[in-house]
Amino acid sequence: MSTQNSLVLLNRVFSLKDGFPFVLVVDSLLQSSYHLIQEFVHNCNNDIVYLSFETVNKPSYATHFIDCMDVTAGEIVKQVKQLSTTKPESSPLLTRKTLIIVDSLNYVGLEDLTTFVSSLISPTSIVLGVFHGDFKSSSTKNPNFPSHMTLLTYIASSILDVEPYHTSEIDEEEIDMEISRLKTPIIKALHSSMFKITLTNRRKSGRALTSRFIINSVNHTYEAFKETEAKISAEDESLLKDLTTFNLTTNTKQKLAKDQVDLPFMQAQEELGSYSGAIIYEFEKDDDYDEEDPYEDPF
Amino acid sequence: MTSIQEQDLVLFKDNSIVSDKLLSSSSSHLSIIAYTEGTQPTWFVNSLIENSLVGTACLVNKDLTKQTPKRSQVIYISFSNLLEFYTKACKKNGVDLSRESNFHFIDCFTDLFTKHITNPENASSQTSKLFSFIIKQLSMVPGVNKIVFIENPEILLTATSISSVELSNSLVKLNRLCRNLFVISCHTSPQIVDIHSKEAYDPNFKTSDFLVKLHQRAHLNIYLEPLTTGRAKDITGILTVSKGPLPFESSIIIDEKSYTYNVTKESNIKLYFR
Repeated sequence: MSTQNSLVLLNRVFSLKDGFPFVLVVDSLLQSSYHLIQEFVHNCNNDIVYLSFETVNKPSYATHFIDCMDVTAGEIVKQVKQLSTTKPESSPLLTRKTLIIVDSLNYVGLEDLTTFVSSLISPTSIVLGVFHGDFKSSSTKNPNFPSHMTLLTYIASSILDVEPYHTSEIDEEEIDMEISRLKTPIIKALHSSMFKITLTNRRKSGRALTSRFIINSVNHTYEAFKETEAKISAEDESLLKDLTTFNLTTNTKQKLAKDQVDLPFMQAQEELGSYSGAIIYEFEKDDDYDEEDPYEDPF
Repeated sequence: MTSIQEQDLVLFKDNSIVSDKLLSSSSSHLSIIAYTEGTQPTWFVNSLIENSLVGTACLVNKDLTKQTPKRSQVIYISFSNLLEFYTKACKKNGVDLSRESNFHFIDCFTDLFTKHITNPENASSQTSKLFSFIIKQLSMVPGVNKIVFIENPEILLTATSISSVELSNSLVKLNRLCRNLFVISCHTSPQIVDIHSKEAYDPNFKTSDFLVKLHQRAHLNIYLEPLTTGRAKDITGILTVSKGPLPFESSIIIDEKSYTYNVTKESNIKLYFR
């Protein structure tokens, strides 16, 4: 997919224009989904229903705030449905889709998860669910039951994976070590308003498209993320300069000549390639060929 | 180490420990004080109590000299210590907690398993009652500038049948009633924190799940750990102040820093930049 097309797609996801009934946001202790949610809110002119499992303060943008602590999944769905039925019929909000933000799907029981999400989805609403991907919870009843993450990624129409955007070199192994001890290292890029996302979008045909972006939630600008190639290539001859008094480098003419040299046995390999790795013994004129097999069973 | 200049402890960019902006904010915040065995945060917590009550922090910040009596209401909930422990410890900070009317102590240690939770194997309703009692006590404290400390609540997860979600929900309810909730918790890894733990029957599974959930909604993280290079005579440990996943209001900026600190035999604190 071209960069331009992927940016158009991202804008459509943010503005809830396409038919993505369930958008899953996966965040971590390195980069929270807070700024990404703000981006959805910035692009949204619709009603926002906020389902709070862990949020302490009611967000200013939430039209309705439902406290989901100590409430069963079924009761939450009932409360959300009640909100949609209490809308006045003449309201233009009926024609626009309501955004339902679930602050954390980690709190919904594994057995209720798919029913909960699918019950919230309706022709007039879009579900934006956050899942914290750090801790892999397991099913207590059935060890073979799929995890939260497996179920959610299976039913989501779009998945947004949030990561920090590092502009300088970092030791990822060390950061992972610290995070595994629940220690947040002091790195400017963590939980920053500028971050990286991986968008996996599932078309109706079943084809999934993946693109990566850098999001700046302060100026609301998005750009496609380009993977930077390894800076030091194997043939970087500038590294060999001024190391010794000998000439270790090659010029263009020498390089061209080097490339044209046929390596030994190349021809032989081409010929034998058709036998797919079989050992083929080619007899020479002085070879003694014996019809009898010395290892044959005499009886 | 004596040649290196001592530093003052600050948590926010306005050179404060418990910022005025935090106390005047209309929102509630969560801060986590994580420690490992061998780096008990008592000295740090005492300074936070002192700063919240009167505005000074005589052991860790020499610039904070201006006393503001009754700066905030401090409510301390402990699952691992008695009031006497803090009354005695805070005397070094020049604060007499027994005479401080703005200090309220809720003892969840003395009668925890004899009075409050008598049936640990089916503890959901009794734990819920305990937290309702705490919330009632908290609501009775006058004023809105409330700073709440809760020490080692994770003990309930290892000692009773309650789930990590139940405890997490109880802390959210507490958090809503105060300007800032400091959760003091042991993070020894892998005994208590093991985020790779996958099996529900592992003893650290519930605590890891709870602590990860807690960290995901934190505004400020404070981590006290021993020196990674090994033991040193003049260094007790490393104190790291870092931001959490949720930001404070735009005017409250965390001063992210890492200090090495030394708690001397006389309980004096020396802090140095790392």
